[in-house]
Amino acid sequence: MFMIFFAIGYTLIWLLLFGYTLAIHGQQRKLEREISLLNELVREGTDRTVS
Amino acid sequence: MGIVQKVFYYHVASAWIGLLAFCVVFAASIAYLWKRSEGVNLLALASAEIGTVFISGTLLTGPLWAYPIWNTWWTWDPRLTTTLVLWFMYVAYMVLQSGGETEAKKRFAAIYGIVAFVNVPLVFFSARWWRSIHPIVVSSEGVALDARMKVALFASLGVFSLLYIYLLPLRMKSLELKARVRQLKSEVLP
Repeated sequence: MFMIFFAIGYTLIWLLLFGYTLAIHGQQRKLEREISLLNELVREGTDRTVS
Repeated sequence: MGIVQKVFYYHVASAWIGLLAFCVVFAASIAYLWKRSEGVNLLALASAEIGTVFISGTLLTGPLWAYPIWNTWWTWDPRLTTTLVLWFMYVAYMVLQSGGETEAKKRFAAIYGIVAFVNVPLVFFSARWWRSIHPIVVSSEGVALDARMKVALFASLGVFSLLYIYLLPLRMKSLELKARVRQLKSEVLP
């Protein structure tokens, strides 16, 4: 019975570490997309003000 | 101990990175109070977060080893208690840092980052200073391990250190991007 707990616990701990690393990568990609979209909106706003 | 002993290589390496990360928070917090640079504030925050993840790993692997050896998942031993307190202190640090972008809040977080560091040597020495059932592997007489176990331990310490070196700039970059998004949003949606 303990070995089952042990295997589950050990798996969860590795998943925590990999999950954290993947979450940072995922967040970074999402933020980069958001920044390019916001940059576009800022440019559009500037163009409209100039014209 | 059988297969349960293998937890040791994750547990110790994870604790090492946690304590190292909190040393970085301490140094970065002093640097922030001195220079007021946003970069070192992000370094402190990123390191605190990574340290908390690794200390979580330590706190989770400990009971996996403790149950078959001590016959209990958890006991209020000085080493275990100080480590749990350490974990809570750095969770509180992250809550403080997420509280706002003002200079005063960052300064307060930096002071807290310095004060919280007091617990780091306390965790390390707790098993030596107080009556503890937690094993002491590293002492003034060296590393009390079999030669082959030493190799495995140092390999795991090396790999976890590399992982920290990889994660730290990665997390800093995403915190920088987050700040940039906030800034752009304030320009687009005044």
